[in-house]
Amino acid sequence: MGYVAVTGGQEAIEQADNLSLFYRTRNVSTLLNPEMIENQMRLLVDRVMGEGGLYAPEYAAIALKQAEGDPLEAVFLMRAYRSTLTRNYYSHTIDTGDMRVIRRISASFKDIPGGQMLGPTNDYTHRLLQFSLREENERELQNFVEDYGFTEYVEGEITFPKVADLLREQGLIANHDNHEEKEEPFDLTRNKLTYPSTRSARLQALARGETGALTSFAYSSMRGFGVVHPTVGELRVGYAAVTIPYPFSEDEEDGMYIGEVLLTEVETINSFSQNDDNNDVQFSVGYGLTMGQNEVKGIAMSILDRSLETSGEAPAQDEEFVLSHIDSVESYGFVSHLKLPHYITFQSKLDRIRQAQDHKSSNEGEEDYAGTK
Amino acid sequence: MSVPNTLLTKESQDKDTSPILQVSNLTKRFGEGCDYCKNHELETNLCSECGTVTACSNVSFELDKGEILGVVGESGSGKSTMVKCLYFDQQVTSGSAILTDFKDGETNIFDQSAQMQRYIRNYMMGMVYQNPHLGLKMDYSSSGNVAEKLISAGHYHVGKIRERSSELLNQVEIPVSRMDEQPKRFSGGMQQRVQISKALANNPPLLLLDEITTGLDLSVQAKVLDLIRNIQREMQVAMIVVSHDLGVIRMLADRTIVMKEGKVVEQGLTDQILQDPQHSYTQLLVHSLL
Amino acid sequence: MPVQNNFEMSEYNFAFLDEGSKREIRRTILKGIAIPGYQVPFASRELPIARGWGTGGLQLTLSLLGRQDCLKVIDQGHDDSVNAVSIRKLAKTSSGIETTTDTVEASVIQTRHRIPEEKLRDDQILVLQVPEPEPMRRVEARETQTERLHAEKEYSSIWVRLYEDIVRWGEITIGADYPCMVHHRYIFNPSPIPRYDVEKLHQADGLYLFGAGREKKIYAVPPYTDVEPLQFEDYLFEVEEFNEESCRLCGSTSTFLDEIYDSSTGDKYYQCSDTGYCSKQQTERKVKANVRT
Repeated sequence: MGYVAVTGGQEAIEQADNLSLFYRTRNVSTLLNPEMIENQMRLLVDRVMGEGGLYAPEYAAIALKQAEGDPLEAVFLMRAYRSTLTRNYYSHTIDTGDMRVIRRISASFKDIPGGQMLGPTNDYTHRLLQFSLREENERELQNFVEDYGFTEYVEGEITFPKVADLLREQGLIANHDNHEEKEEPFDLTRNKLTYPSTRSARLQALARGETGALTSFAYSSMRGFGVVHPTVGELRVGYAAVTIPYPFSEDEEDGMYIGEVLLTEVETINSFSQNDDNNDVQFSVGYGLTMGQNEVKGIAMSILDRSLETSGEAPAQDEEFVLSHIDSVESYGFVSHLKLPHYITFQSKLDRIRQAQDHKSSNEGEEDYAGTK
Repeated sequence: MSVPNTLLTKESQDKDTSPILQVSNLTKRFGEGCDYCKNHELETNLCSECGTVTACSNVSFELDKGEILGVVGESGSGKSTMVKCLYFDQQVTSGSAILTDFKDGETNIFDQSAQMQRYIRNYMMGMVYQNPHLGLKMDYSSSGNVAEKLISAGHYHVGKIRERSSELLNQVEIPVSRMDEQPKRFSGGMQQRVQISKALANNPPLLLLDEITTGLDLSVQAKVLDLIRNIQREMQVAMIVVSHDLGVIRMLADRTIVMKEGKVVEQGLTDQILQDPQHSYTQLLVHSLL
Repeated sequence: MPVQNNFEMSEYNFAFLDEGSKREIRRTILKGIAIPGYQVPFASRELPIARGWGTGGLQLTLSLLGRQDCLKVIDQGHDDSVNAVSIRKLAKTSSGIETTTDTVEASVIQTRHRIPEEKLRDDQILVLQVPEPEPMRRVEARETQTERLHAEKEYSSIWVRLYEDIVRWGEITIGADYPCMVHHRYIFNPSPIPRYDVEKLHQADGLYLFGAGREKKIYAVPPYTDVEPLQFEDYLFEVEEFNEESCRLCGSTSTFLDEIYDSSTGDKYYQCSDTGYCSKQQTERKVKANVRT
């Protein structure tokens, strides 16, 4: 009775778990420890943290190990863990202007106050498969790190004024609706997203969105199914301080420093339009912010932020369409649920098709009641 | 040009000659509006102060039972917006409309809940749009399109629905053998006829026709207009016929209102308006017809 | 041998979710009960099982469980189906409560795609997992639109969809998840249960709760509520037809049957989909047979 494979479900699951473990480990000579992933798979860890909505590099590394490197699965693990955590505080708004920047570029101006700072990037590195990585030598690498003298560089605490602020001071950038900025932001983890949504809800949904999905939607808008083809005003990657309200203070602004987070912030400058309030002609800005260093997602997010502010027929302008389909936990879960048994629904479908067949054959020769052939 | 108060009280109404629809001061603004455009008579429908477009400004008229009222004006005059407001496709900014057959005949239908407005739409009105895509589900069968209107008025018997659909489609000269074909496989004139049969499904006292012959070939136009006339004669249904084409209005309408920049600039018997247009804009229209 | 998913109970709250989340979900349930068939939005939490795999049902179950409860979990009517096992295990390890395969013993039953054959009592709650809570999605993709249609009770489009089925196929072709009118107000999806199970919802003694985790909606059919499948006056709702076939194991002719093909001979045979009920029937049959001899 091969078909009734579902009996003994408990045992089957245990065997499946064991088999997975077996496949993961059977050819292992050196065991991967999460620390290696955390330090050597930096960008992947950042991506998993961002989509998982949980800033915890170590946990992201564990999740990646557990998921055998599948980022969708790792994000899922992070989110599931996050569900069990109590919400203790809301932080103050992070000031990215004070960011300790490790990389910062502008595509709009050749010279910007503070200058361009290429930082860690492979943008201009030829993508040649480096076979030498097979024989990387730990000793040599350690020597390299020591010789590089990075420590002093960090202590320099480089902060820059923001490019968008320069334009804003000159009245060239339209500020977003101030009413909304003063309001308590939407909390996506405590409320169901409904449409039309607020900008804060949109930005949260985008910030947790799947990198590939965001990139595809943004690409569609740039390529012609939409209106947004921006200039990167500024892309910055750096560490920003996080503070929470000091519990024993009356003053809301009184902060307590709890650490810093690596962020990628992107402000893109778009076509200009006329401001409804004062009739000034101004640029509109798209905003992207992701955890860790995830530049393409940051840019994509800023494009979609802008695109969703416009109205039109393109998919990337359709808030419900974009925001309902970018969450990887939802899309991954629902697509893979097709692997679950659907015997009952299929039985029900079989019953319908057999009835329909009977109906068609019994009506042959005479006029079909419905009159369609 | 508001409706005299006496008409709104029941005592003065003579049931047989009382209008089935009274529209008073229907105003529709696109935009916030400002003190200036809310309180001044504007030359055009665009406010120079705030950019708001007043598509319909204090439009008032009545419609008698079985009467055809023509609404003529160039594109942008607000005539389409006016019928879309009446069919609740668009929300009015202010004003009232009263259907004699609805409730006590004194209720402003614009103040009703969305659910109640659906009821009014389904039971008391029919709409034919210029663009058949707005009025029909192109992928569904033609009989299904008619069925939708019947179902929304509480008919749940497939046999009876089909009987009624075939009767209605037959009336607009869609052969019964094609009643289950999709409108997307029909010509433009046929699609309009399917729309008309759908609009008539529940014998509504009021039919709204928005530029229904625009874009059709002349011979097809004539057929559709003939059909409308026959329907009006046989079913005694009142209609509001919106058209930029005075020829269409001349053929169909007993009375006509002329709209320009959102305002009614002239109204009266169609013949009178054609023979002796008062407003310069109407004169222009009439002359271009001759 | 070490196995994955080692779960340290002490590191998690009772029944996995934090108390604040559970309270929020229970409030949502109450609202759902107050408005039968209305889909109440809620901030669905991510769980250790995937979205689309029963997270809506599981959140309801976890929020409802107290230490005295006894839980039964089935998938396709089956207690030992892999997904049922997985869900039961999570609920059990995170709460430590009793579980059962006997419908009669359970206070809470979580199910996917079936309602047990044994009638739900007024002290029992059946939790159904819902993949797609929106019945109108069959005709309208946008939630902004479907919400409006519900608010205005404008359901003609789904009726026309049924009409079109009849025109095209001579019958309504919806298999499972058959749309029903709840208490003359809201059309709802009863989750992908077979049509055979739909009438169990009508004027029932027990409470039926529906959870859609991915779509973030909770709704309810409280006891003694009218649930009417959509049907035309001359095209009536039909349940699945088994043409007098009987269960190969217990001989039942009055249950929902799985169609099964023998892997060696390829022959088709039938078997109860509700395995808990089937094994009870088998035992009873044996007892009767013994009494007779």
